[in-house]
Amino acid sequence: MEISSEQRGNLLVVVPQGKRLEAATATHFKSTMVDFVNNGATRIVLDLSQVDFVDSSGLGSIVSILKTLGEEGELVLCGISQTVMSLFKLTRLDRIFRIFPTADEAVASFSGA
Amino acid sequence: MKPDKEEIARVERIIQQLLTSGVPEEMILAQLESFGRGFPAAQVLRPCTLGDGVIAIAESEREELLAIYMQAARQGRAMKFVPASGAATRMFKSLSALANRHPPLDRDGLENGVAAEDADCKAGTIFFASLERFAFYDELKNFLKAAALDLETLRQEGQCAKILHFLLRPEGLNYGNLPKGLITFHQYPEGNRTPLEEHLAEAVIYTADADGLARIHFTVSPEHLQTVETHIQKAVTRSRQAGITLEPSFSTQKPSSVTIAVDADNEPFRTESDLLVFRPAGHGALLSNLNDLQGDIVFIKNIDNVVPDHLKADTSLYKRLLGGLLVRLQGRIFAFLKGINSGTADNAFCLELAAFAKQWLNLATPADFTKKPWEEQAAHWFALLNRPLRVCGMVRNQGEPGGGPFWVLDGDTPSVQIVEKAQIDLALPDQQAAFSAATHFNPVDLVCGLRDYLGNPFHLPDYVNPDTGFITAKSKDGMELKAMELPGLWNGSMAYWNTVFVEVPLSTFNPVKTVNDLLRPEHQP
Repeated sequence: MEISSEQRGNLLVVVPQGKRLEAATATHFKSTMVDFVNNGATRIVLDLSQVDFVDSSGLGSIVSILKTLGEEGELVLCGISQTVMSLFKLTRLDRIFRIFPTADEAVASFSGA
Repeated sequence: MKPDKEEIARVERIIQQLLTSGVPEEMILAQLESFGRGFPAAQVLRPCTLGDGVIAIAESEREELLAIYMQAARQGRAMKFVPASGAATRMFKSLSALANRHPPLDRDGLENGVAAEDADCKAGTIFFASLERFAFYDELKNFLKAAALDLETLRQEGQCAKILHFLLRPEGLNYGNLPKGLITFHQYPEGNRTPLEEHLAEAVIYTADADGLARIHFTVSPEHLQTVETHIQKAVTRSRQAGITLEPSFSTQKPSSVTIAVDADNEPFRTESDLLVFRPAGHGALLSNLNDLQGDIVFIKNIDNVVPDHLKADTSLYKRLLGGLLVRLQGRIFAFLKGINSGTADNAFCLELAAFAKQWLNLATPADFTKKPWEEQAAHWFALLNRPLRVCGMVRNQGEPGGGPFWVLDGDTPSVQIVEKAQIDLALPDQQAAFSAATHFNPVDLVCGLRDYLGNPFHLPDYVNPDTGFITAKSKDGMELKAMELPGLWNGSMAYWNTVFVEVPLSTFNPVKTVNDLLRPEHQP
């Protein structure tokens, strides 16, 4: 899965380009995200607008990145499709993340924080 | 918003639960959508009756059908498929309820209960009065003896709770927790038999090939697989000593054969710790096991529907007759399909085919269809005939619960189906009337043709009607929940098969639903 990223001020906006974040792609996704964190990213916007589906492995990898960021970092999400949101609700992921419709709104939420 | 560690841990537990459930996430979402949308009730037109959806095999046809079947069996085409994962819990439901009573149940308690019209006590009274007539009597007696107890002394003293304890609990025979297939059903001088062993004996009678090899497949729950395999292996060894070769195989219901439960608002039902609740999806999940077998002629029969050897004649006769009819029909169907494929089909061919399809497969010719070019007719018939075939025994309705054979409307196409009571909207007068008029019911006595005219196995999931699942109300920890059953194995899972219903005698249907059913003459030596 190709993963693009863009630095916006002190924020990193990450956009996975694959349609499915699942067992086959979650490991690569997670290791790429961990690399970002190890290279100093602490405030990350994960833009899932290109992703149609996330399975349990993919959901687990997102939680894992949240834990890697620790107390000082923050991970917010945006661009979540209806199907993916259903899975977030099923697993209560929607209760542990701030979720925004678009990347711009997610970025703006940091400046207003 | 900073989630605390406990919140994150809770999410991780739910994700882990999804992973271990084995149910694909897309399937869970589809199930949640189905809860919201609901399943349409079956549109029953009328019950299938003799001459209208149910046929009888004439005495004059028997010899031919038996010969046709025996030839196919000798070629090694036949095998049995027995869903055997069911627990004996329901069989011992009344006795388990009595075993759990406080203070511990004695004879007085039992008699008082009978006087108060207590159904469990009534069942218990019959059980204790006839204890020595159960095939597991000696087993229980010997177990108690090893524990320095005497069964007859306990019985005379009216120590009901103690006897039930040693019958049902792990400290004793553990019958309350075993699969039904491992309960000793029938007495024989050379050694008593469980239903698993009776099915092996049946398999030898009508599935053995020219080399005497009989094939049988059991579906078993994962936790009992080892015990069942060991039990069967002993029986296989005994059979080998008697010159019979049995080839048993096993599969377990897949972990993914569960469905998610929801609350009254169709939101996922949650436990106190916020976990999801999954429930067994019914016998429809076994379609996957049946498909994996890649079988040819496969007999399906329930684990608890067995009789001792001296009563097997009717059962084996009708199994072979049903098998013979299946093979004969396959012969006609395959010839038609090859005819269509060869391009030699013409109008006369299509007319002959249409007559056959109507007479034997309950397939009607669409209105004005015969005016269409024969090529179009041939393509239509090819699609309809090139499907798995089942010949299902049906017995005369004796008021037994369960499904039966009905004419059902799917879109604008009538077809014959096995429909369960739960699939019918009995609040509608016409549906209630159709249900009440049923003359036959389904004893689960099927023979299935699972290969096409080229000998290739059909991919069975292609012939399921997904709209034939149903939703039932249950409770968990005092809370109401809604559970979903997938289309039943012989119901919606075979909805788009070709189906033939044949009347079979009641003597072929001897289910053991409660322990006291074993006292019926047909289960006694």
